[in-house]
Amino acid sequence: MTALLEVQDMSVTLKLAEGEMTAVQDVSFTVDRGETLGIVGESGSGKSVSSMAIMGLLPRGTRTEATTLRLGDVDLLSASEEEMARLRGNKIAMIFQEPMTSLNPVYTIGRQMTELMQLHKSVSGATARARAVDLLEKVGITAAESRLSQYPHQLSGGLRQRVMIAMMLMNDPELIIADEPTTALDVTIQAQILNLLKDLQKELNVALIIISHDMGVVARVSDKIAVMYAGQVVETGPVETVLRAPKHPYTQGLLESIPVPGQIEPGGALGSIPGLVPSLKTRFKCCRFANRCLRVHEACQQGPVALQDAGRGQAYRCVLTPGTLRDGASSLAAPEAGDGSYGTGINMGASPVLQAIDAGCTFQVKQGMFSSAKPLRAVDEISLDLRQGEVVAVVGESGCGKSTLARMLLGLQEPTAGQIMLGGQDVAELSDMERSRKIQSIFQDPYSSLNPRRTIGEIIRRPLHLHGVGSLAEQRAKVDAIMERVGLLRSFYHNYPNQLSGGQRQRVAIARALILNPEIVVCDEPTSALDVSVQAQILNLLLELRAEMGLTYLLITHDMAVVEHIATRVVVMYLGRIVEVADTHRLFSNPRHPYTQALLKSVLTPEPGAGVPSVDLGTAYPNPINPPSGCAFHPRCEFALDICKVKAPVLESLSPSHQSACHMLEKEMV
Amino acid sequence: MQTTANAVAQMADQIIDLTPKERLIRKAKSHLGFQFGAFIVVSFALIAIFAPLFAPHDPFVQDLTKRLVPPVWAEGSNWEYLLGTDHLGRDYLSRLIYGARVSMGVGFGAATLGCMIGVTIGLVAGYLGGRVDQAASFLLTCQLALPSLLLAMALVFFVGSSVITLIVVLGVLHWQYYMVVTRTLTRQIRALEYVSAARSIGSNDRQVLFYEILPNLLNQIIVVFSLEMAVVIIHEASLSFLGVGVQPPTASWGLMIAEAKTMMYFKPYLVVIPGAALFLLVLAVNLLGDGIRDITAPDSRN
Amino acid sequence: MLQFILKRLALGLAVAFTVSLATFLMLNLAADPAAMVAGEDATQEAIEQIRVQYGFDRPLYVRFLEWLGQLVTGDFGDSYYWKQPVFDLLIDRAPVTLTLAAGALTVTISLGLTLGVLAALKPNGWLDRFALSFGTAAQAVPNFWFGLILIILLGVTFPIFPVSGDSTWMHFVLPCFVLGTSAVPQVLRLTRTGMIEVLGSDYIRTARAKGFRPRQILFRHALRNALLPIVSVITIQIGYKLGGSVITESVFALNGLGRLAYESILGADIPTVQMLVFFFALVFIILSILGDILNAWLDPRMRVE
Repeated sequence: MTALLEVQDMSVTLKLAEGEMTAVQDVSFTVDRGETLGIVGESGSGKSVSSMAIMGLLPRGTRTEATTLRLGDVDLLSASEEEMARLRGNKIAMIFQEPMTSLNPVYTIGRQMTELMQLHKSVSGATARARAVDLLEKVGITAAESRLSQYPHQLSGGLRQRVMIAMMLMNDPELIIADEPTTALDVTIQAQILNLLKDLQKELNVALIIISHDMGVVARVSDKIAVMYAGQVVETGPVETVLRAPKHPYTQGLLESIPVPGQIEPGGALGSIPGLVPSLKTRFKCCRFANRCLRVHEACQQGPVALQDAGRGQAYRCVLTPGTLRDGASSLAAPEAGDGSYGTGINMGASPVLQAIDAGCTFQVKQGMFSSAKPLRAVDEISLDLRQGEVVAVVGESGCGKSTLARMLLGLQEPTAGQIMLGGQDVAELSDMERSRKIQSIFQDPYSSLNPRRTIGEIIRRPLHLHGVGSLAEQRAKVDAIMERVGLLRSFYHNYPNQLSGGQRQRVAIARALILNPEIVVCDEPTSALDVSVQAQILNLLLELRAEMGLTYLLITHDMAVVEHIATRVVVMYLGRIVEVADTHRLFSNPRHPYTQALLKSVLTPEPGAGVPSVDLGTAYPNPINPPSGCAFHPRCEFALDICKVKAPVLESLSPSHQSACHMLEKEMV
Repeated sequence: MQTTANAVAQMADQIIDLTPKERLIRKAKSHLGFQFGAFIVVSFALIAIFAPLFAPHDPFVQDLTKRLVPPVWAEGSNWEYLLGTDHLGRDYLSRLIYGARVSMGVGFGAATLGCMIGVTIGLVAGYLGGRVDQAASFLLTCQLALPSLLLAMALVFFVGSSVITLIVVLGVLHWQYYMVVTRTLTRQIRALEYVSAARSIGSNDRQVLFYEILPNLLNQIIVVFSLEMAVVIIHEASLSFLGVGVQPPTASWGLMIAEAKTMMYFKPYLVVIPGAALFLLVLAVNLLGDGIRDITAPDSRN
Repeated sequence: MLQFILKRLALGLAVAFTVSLATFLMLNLAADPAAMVAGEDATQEAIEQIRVQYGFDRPLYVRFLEWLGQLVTGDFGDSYYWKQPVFDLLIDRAPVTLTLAAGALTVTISLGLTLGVLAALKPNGWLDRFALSFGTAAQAVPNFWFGLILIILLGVTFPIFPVSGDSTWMHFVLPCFVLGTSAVPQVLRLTRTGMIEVLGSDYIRTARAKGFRPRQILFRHALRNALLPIVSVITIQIGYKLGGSVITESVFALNGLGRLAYESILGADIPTVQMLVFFFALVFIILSILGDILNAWLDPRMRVE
């Protein structure tokens, strides 16, 4: 039985201003109806380009070559543009990453859906509309009929993605390609969308390709997996086999550098892959992973490496035999076992170094040009203590107010209610200078947190200059010292940010934050914008620096795995309020608040075959401008009581180190 | 204590790209428009500054016995007057050369004045936002509504035409574009994380504006400057043509065209040449501005 | 929506007031009005006499309020120079300028929009480069000079068109062309940039993934989005045409408002000049309000909450 989609030895060459670039080389895979193929890889791995090549959506001047590129009976390689256009939206459907911008803002949902059906089939408008309503209901959208006359901007991100899926199903495709379908969505919605895709696949018997950088997503959803690196498939096979017994050093390294909840020793370093993902403009002569591989041999540098068969459907691209790869604990910079000792060194009895007391921040927001300003409670009655040495993680999905809270604690945003105390003093009363010596910050986006017109040296030296610390020579010496400490070459001093990679830039940001020897560092999503293989490097660095310099961290993140790895205490926020606070271990082993439970359940670890957890949270994350009455979570909570609709619960203790705000738990409160 | 990971990280790290300056130079080398524009503009500037050295005659000296001598390619010409003489016997080429002074002087001066006004308002409005921004936007709307050419004509004529008046009036009426660009950019940059970072390491507002934000604006401001300068040069020529700009006997290309209007059917070159000079200069300034925009445009990330 | 319109109108009113104030101040403070009216060789006594006669001795704010009152009631005062009510002058000359503006606008839009859209379809293709070069060159040509050259070429050397006066439609061909092409570069660039941005957007990628052919994508999906901002550009262009009429009408000897303004300036006729400046500004303000409202109405993001 031949597979539905067959790709054999596909290569894609792009035409650039400075010459040609081979984005994808010798890629092969097959997918059949009812099967899910997961393609996983970091940025620059060529995964998106491969899928666009199948659809024929690459820009003019791109050359696609392959031994076979076939969908059913159709040879995609030799098909004319007209034939390809007949297949798109018809036999092959593609779902993109950004539901916000992938729908046309000036046309109604109904029109965008029906036009797709009427393009490929001659049906009446009424028939198309009926089918649209049908599909909208199938993807779980309520009030389907009324949605047809709505515009995209009136729907939330999760709903828009459902609309995209429904839209692409209008013509009963045989193959669905989903390129990062959940990356732009909140974690709790992610599980729902993935479940939806799987259910649809079963019902309609389609072939599904899921492309993602998130190993967890791919592991849970796929039947077979292809790991891509630098434009090639480096490992492929059934998902169980590949993930439980990876053969390629890159796959092994990836799996080791992902913090897996429940398996990490707190405080221990993660395995990481040194170096950077190579630019695809490089002309590769041999194994593309060789310069980062700790098992590199002479044989690796000799020439291009072909796929080797490892049996049971698994293949990998490496010169080493399965035997040599299986021995030894791991193939890469070994994860150091943690001694679990991060818990010590924290003096819970001393007065807090950073405090929020009933802090709140309400913005006045204008919605559109017609209405007057409405209040938006970004942060509502937050009380929080940070003690020296702690790593407190504040988690929550977008819109929960954690970034606003971070800005308030940093002194960049004035609270409209309550106080922020830094070392016992109100932040508002401290001068900029005093405040910045005590608390510093590392921001999320390494591409925008460094001034593109200043050199690395100037950037790191700037705090010293502003505070008048030492002479120029002394400042220079300090900069050199800290650059070395964070792992930056001294020669970078005169380079500009655009010449450094994301990981290197984040190190610069860390150096800048630490050069004044602050007590507290606020890390706002410090690794979210980085490739997975680099994330581990940065997290390890942060842990080391904390131990050496006696730092206290406030970590803002949505990534629960990172939290379990490095946090000592966790604060869970929902719509501007704290819903649960607990020591890390306790929170992960025994979450009590329904939202926390849902959040943890939604985290997708790379456990093959575990399936996607079904997290039924009903409607979308509420808009902070129109918060639900009483407990903000009640519309989505399966345990909601009558009182939840009326009265907002208060944060109370379940035990000395565990607080929660929930009416249901009140009877257990101390 | 460094982990092996960090040590290996150092080894494997490489520089991926050129410094901003290197990139600029490389792009400039291959941008024809920029080179052409720069060449012409610099040449005109030199000619304007060193006019007495270039001009064969004094542009004001009249010789009524030698009126309307044709240029060298026509009959009855005189090699002493390469481009002939005008209706008052003044050397045409010299007047052309001195005309460059007026065009470049007024162009540069008015553009600078407009730049100072517009960039200041834009910076303040973009950085402070709120009411200040609303006030600045209101001011902008009013300025946009005014018919600037008409108003310039009236004001220059009423106050009394002179090069200084022209510079001031044209400068004060041409700050809108600077303000819009500066304001938009400042607002965008203000939202970037390195501004927040600057504040969290202790920079005050003034330091943020001048050390962090302004350097990122300079490229765009230069582009606007060149485009505005081109506009002002044309406006000055228009005003002088209509008789409300530079007054005789000063040489201005617009004025020269006006003076030639009565004779243009017979001696079209009198109209064509100064116009061609205007065209060339304005084209060069525009190409220069476009070239700077292209060269300094940020590359997309890898 | 109604609230938006009302707010916009209020803003327009505030702008109109500020503009009238600025105009009045600038024109009356630039020089001594009495001396301007009296002429160059007038004696000091003659000037003082005129000052009293025309009421220039009254304080500024009084004169401003009087003018403001005139504006509102529609009595625009008398022109010193033309010795007629300004209002009559306006009505008399307006048709010519309106014809000129309409014709020029047609030229600008048809050339600018079409070239802009076509250029955007294949960025860096030959048409794109041509359109951009054309735009850059056209921007460098001084309006008045271009008019003169056309007069020489098409009015004298090959006498196809008449070169002065405004009696027949043929008289308007050259002036409309000259005034129209002066704005083509800006409209071209704006259209092109807007179109390129739209063509590169995610929803166009979705349209391709749906299987639409390029032609369908252009007309069904791209144009509607790209042309949204063009609407306000067009309304503002109309305003600019009025201002640009000053030069064109002078070069081609058309008896429109622009020429009126020019001659009034030369004749030191402050009331007329004042009135015309304010009138042009008012037209611009009204048009930009209309443009904003149209824009808000067309864009669903603005219309539906």
